[in-house]
Amino acid sequence: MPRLSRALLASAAVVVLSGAFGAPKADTRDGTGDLAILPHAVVLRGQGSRQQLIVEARAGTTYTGNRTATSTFASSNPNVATVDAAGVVAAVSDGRAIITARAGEVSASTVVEVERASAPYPLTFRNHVVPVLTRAGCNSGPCHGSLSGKNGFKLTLRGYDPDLDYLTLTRQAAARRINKVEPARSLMLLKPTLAVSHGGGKRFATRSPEYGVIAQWIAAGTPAPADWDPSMTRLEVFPSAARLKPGDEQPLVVRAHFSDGHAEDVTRWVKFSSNEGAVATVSEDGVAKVQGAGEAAISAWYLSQIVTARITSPFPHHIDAAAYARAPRANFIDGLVLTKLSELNIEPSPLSSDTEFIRRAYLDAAGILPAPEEVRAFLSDTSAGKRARLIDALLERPEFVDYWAYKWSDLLLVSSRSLPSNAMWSYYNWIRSSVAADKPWDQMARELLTASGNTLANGAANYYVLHKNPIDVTENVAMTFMGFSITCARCHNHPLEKWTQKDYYQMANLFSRIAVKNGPDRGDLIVYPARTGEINHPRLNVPLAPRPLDGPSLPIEAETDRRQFFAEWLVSPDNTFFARAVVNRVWKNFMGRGLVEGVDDIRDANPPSNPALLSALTRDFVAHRFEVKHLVRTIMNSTTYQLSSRPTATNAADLKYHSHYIARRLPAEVILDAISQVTGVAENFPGYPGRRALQLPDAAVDSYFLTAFGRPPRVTAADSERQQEPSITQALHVINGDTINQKLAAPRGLIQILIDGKSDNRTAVERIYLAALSRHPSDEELRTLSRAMDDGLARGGPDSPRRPVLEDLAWAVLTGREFLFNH
Amino acid sequence: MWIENGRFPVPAGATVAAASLAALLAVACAARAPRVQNGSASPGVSFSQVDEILRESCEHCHNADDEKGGLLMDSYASLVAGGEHGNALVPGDSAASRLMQMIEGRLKPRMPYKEDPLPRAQVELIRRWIDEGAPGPEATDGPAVARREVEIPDVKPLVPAAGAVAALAFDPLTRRIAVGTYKSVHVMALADRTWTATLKDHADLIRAVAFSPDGKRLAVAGGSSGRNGEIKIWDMTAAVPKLVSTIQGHRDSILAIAFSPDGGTIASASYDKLVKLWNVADGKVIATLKEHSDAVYAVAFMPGGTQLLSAAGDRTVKVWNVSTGKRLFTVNDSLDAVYTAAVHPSGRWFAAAGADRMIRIWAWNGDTSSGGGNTATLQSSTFAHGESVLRLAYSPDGAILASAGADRMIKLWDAATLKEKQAFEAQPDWVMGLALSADGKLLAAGRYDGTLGLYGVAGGRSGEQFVVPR
Repeated sequence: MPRLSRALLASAAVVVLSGAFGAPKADTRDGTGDLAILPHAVVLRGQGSRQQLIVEARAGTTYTGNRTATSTFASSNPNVATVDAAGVVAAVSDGRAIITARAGEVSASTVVEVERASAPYPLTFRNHVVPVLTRAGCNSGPCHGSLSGKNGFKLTLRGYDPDLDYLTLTRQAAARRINKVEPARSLMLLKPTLAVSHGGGKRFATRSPEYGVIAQWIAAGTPAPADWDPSMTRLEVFPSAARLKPGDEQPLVVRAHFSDGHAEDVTRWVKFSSNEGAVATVSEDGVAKVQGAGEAAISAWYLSQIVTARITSPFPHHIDAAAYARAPRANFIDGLVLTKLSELNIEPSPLSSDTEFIRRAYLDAAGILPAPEEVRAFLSDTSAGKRARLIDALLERPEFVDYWAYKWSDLLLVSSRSLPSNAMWSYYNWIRSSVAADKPWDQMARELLTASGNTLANGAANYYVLHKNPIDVTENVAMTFMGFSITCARCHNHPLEKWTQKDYYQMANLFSRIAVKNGPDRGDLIVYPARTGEINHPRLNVPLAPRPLDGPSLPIEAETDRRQFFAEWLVSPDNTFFARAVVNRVWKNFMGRGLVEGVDDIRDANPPSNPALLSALTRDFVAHRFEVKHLVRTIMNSTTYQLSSRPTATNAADLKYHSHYIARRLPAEVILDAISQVTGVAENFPGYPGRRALQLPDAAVDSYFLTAFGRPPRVTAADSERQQEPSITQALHVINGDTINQKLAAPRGLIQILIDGKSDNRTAVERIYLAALSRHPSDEELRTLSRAMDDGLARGGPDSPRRPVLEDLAWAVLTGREFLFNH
Repeated sequence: MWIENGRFPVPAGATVAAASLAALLAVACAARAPRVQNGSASPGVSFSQVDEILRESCEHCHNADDEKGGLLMDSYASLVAGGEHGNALVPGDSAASRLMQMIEGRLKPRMPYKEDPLPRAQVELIRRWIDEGAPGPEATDGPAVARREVEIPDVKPLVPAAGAVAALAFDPLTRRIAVGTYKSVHVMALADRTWTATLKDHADLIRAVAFSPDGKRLAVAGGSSGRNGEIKIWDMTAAVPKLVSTIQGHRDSILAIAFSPDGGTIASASYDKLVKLWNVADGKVIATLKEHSDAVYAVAFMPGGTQLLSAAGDRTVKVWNVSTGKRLFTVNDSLDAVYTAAVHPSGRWFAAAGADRMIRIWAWNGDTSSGGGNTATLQSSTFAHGESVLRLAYSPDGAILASAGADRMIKLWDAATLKEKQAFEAQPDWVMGLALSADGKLLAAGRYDGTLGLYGVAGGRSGEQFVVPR
């Protein structure tokens, strides 16, 4: 399909629309046949205003393909608004016109209202010129947006500081860049058009919209950015969702609404990106192209706001609708997952077996293997609801507390590398007792963030020993409790998200009044709220009113503990960032993948794989007073969690929508504990005798195994600190290393028990399988292994000891993927 | 209206208001006419066709700033002149032309360097053009068309637009003041504050004016940003000033000039990073001082005339021996670009200031009887303004140092102690021109908004305001 010729390509005119327009009933008006015309209602304000229209085929409420290029357009009143063959509607004079698009037998129309057509809409530096500089790449990192600028000319990166850029362009360097008297002789126009040589090459042509915007702004007397400039209130993309197939192209149109009630087609100035290039790519000018099956979010970034269009490209399978109808639904999770799967033509796998389920549940919820007798009891239980009862019992075990205390200790960075040993213990004990007491997540966060007093008495106060300044706290809080990074905004507006540098320093100023002094004992510090203290915005050089991201601000003169104000905002049920982040973390623990992946990369441009599900889980979590255990129970009881990890013929490609359980390597600590558990030979951690790996308070405990398998150092809250990638070191260590071999060779534990009990081959295999794999061996496995053991014994002669053969048997199981993985 | 390649038509005087620019541009898309070459059967390749390729693909390295391989490709003349490896073109013989060899990759490195090769059609076009004798723009595009000027659309301001007042100079007798603005210098008689003369036809915004020490000549400097510098010298002795000479030089606009004390030499500083010394009598270059690595914003002679200092965006002030053109020393105390510098009338100190908001004063070491030694030491400094310091000027008696900043403030300092003596009223815009009269009584401030303020040095905070004629 040829690319749409964009309205703005042909004209420098600024397209103006109004959000306040009393909309006609769009759905009935454009509901003719199966065609739709977007946007539904258009208001063009100002001379030369234009809007690209998009024509879509429609099935029910779903857009199913672009018809713009094959449509013919007509205006009911060309004296008011004209429309060209490409679907660009342009203002002529004030009034109202109906634009009709016809494709074959079907047609659709939209109302266009033209107002103030006699004068051009005034351009602003902030809303028009800066986006041109951004689009043309002038203020990009490699060019004038770099820290040192280029050829003496430095702009702020992607235009985060319009006031500064304005002075730079108009006055700095002896006012060389703009010619007020003869605008077209401005260096700002001569360089990018190559009328004067330019190290950055040609950025636009003299007849381009870019040129037009800058020329018109200079001709208007270079109006400066002003407080009363209209601000963008809303960004829309058309179509916001479409169901397409590979090879399809879908042009997107982006409209910005401003506080003065006008709206304009800003498609040309938008930066587009796709979160899933294998599903759909998007060109610079906003034409999405479907590349494969699945879902992609196309993000459109403009003036520090972002909007996404969802492209759904179903898999080319023929799945019987009954497959979805038939699939069991244990709770709300399953319905939402099945809806998504059916939209994408992905078939769910069947339910897991009891042996798969019990092992999976123990490992995911408590980091332990079920004991052989627990497996036997579970398998022989034939009553209804036994899985739910197993889950309930599991959630009350002390190992559940160990596991989640360890998990939150990762997140909260408990380590003797950064805290004295007694303080580290105090911090860990606060976390562990919180988990043991089923402390709701909001309460934990509030206690942590408002902690004061002696760090040895109040372990939570160590948070402010770890994070000593407002910058540290701000960035850690965002990542830990809201699941995203705002570090970019420390130096400039976030290039691809809505956070601005102002947002950042308003939030940072919430943490500018925390003081720490020495306590009575070694290792004891006292955290207390200071009465004064501010952090300055680095460019404005003044402190800003403390404000949590997009929350309300606190008067700068208020004397309340600013942390308290922040904590109230953070844990408020209205703040979806907070609950959503932990829900996503817990989901990933059980499902192997966050609904937003990664769990600390929650951004508008990185939307959830199943937005409805994440919302529903978040609502349910909040409704159940932030109880993590409730969330865990809900997830574990869902059929989705209990599906087999074995893919079907058609769902193997899906690792995103939970059509089957995602098999994955166990975490370092869980593997090590499992090896100890199966062999019956405990690991002896220096300084922590008798503790399992998951009972360690400290990430700094020396352990080659844990390091090799990716234990996080707990330096930053980033989820990526935990290394899950396989490595040669891991393989060699499992096969030849000390950990497994020493435990097998120990004169105690499982091997010794088998020797002492004079177990026959069958008993030994049964015992090891149940302990390590939580299942009985198959007859085939029994036969093969038993024969191998006999062969081994025979080769050793009549009096050969059984130990080497038993060790080999256990070694073979413990080094296998079935053991090292959860599945 | 438009012909291929977006070049503007040449109907003289035709103007289009920016308001209808949109419509104009829209028409332009539809009205692209095919190029026909003098009605000949097989049209030859015009230079402008080749030039478009060069501009798109070559000139970002082969330009005045970079000059890779010593080869400039920003004009037909420079292309014909070739680079440090010899001729780029052998007219009529594409196979022997280095340009052709390198874009085809027969000669390494293949051009454009580390980028995609030129499309085959472009390579063939260039080959044809060379084989047809590599005709220049006069031959193929018409003689009257000055290169690239034709591409600039005529966009008219929609609001009254005043050029910045960036250049001011009082004459040595304090009878008049020369006020530079866009393309013109206006002369005001100080006796009755009337505008008495206008010096016209300068290239662009005037960025520096200087009276010769005897007051008979006025040097007016500026030029076109990104293109070239220009100095016009006017005879100011008659009632109607007369243009004496025009000097063209530098590869960018000139930002500062200074007459030597004997009036025989002019020093110019340019955005092209160079300082040049000119013989006023014949307009020839005496020396080019090349060591700055960023735009040079200020230049000043020592009273003895044997030494010159220059201040630049590279954060340095450099002091030069005028007769040898050798640098004597560099001071590196500034933390950011230096925009202005001034020499104390005694020659014992010099001051500089810029983007780090500080004024610094250095004292010459050693024997200063001849006007200065070979090193200087930072003597004092102060945070002077809330934003960049743009201009400095010493009073003729050396007692006062005046400064102007991007914070829209003008301040007077005790030149010996750098203590603030006075701040004038807040200015309506950036003060880009600053001068103190020879009698020490008046201070003139030229602003970005096109206005001029005259203040009494010993007077109050407020002054007389003038709108400089357009």
